[in-house]
Amino acid sequence: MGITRTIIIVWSWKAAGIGEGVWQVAGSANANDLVVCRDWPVSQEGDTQNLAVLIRQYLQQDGEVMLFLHRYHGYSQEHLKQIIQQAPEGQQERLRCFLFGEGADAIYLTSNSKGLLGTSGTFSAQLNRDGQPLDVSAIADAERRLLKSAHFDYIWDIYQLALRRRIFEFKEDLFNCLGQYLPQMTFEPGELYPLLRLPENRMLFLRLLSFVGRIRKGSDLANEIRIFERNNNRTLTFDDCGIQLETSYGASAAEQYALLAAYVLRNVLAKGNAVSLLELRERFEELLEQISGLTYHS
Amino acid sequence: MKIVLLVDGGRPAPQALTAYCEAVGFRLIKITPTEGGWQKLLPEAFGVMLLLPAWGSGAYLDSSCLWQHFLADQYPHLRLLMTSYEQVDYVNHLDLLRLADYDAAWWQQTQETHITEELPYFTGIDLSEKLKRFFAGHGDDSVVAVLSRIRLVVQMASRELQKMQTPYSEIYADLVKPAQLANKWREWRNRWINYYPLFEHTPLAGKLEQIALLTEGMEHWMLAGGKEQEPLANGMILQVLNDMREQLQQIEKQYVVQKLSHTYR
Repeated sequence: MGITRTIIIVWSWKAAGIGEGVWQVAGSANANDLVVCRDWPVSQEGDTQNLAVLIRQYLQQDGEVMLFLHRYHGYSQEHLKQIIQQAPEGQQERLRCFLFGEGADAIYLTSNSKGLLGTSGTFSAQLNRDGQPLDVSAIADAERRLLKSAHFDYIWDIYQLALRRRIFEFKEDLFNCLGQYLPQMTFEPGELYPLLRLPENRMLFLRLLSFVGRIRKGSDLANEIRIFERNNNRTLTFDDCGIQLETSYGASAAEQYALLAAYVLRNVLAKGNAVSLLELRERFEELLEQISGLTYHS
Repeated sequence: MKIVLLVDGGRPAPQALTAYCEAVGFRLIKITPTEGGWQKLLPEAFGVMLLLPAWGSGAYLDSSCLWQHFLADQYPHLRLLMTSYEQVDYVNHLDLLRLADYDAAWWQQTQETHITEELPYFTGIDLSEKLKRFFAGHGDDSVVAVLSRIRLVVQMASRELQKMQTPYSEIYADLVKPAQLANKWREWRNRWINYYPLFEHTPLAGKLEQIALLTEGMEHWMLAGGKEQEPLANGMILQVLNDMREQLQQIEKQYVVQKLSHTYR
């Protein structure tokens, strides 16, 4: 028997969906794969004790856990921090936590046909492909509560690499924009900010703000970047990123992230020092070096 | 002035790259692999330059291996040049952030495709691996396997109709209907749609585009589960499937392996 891989999803399962419960994975090479569905909004006190207990249960005996928290259930970066800190010492690296919502992340079947979540608290959805309805489902056998292994494996694999991929794509997209000003290699203090504020760079500008932690939960900017996520079927925010780098990849990864975020905040988004493209690239490379592993599964 | 064909991979190529190439004696011409005509420019070109990694289907993609196969096979004396925002130690790679470091002599030292031994690593989905799975005989990613199952049913039904002169109502009831062609077709479409946009910036984009056009001709018949006799009787459906098979065989032969997969049988 292999290691237990558990995906815990806190979402709207109860109101109109299939309800809370535990689903197994049909025909998986790993007999212990599970998906645990819970519909637990953040408590008024904001404590995450119930989730911590649930996670601990599945982390036992070398289990690995991936936790997905629906933003509309009230979860934010602070809750992720709490949850990770409550995981037993030495087991934090086996826990990955993500915030999701707005139908925009890879976990949704509407974003990605190998996803898990359908519409209204289910594992199924109807897509529109070239004007024709197409039913997609992650369910292998509803009566026996079995999910398809291809969907489970895909989500597990893609979210294992999610942090590195998100940062790599952010770097490339940023250079797509800055490359338009080549051969200029250095930008004077404050010179980049107005360029990034141009309407055509709006999505990139919001990603920069998210990267440096300058988008407040529930703000207009938060809503705006969610719209970009939904329209582009991509996770563009970094609110679940910083804390996880430390637990999954170690203190030096978190440190590099903090250094890069500070550099961007001070020099790219404000009038700190001049920005050299070579230095900016080097800082991204130093961060990516700390996040070991693949960026994509081929 | 020599020409270099640029495949921008769905990304904005910096104006500075064009200006730099002009300054060292090369004219950069952007080509779009999905459109016809670009292959006519190859015999006169110095090389093909890829802006890597390419962007498509919501991910960064590495198309270099497919281009290498194509050029080594068809135009071995052309150079496969690569440019990116990454620091890559490779004789044919131009770092976009250090363009000034590459003088005219650098271009002369670049290697022709027939000499190139190993390509450098670029972060991105390796499209040559993706293509292998496209042709694999089984698994969720195999596109060819599903198409072969459809073709087998159509081939048997055509033979019954044309050679044995069995009434179509019988063929439909005994063979076509139980085969659930509409479901098989949806499965094929689903896999195809997930795959073929990935190859938009590769040399096989034009062939895949032709296959996409071919499928449109029989979409209606397939989705109706093959009820209509005429398109089968006049050979149109089998002809389209055969044309698709031929195009796919050519792609597999050129880019994947010399020995074709069993699924064509």
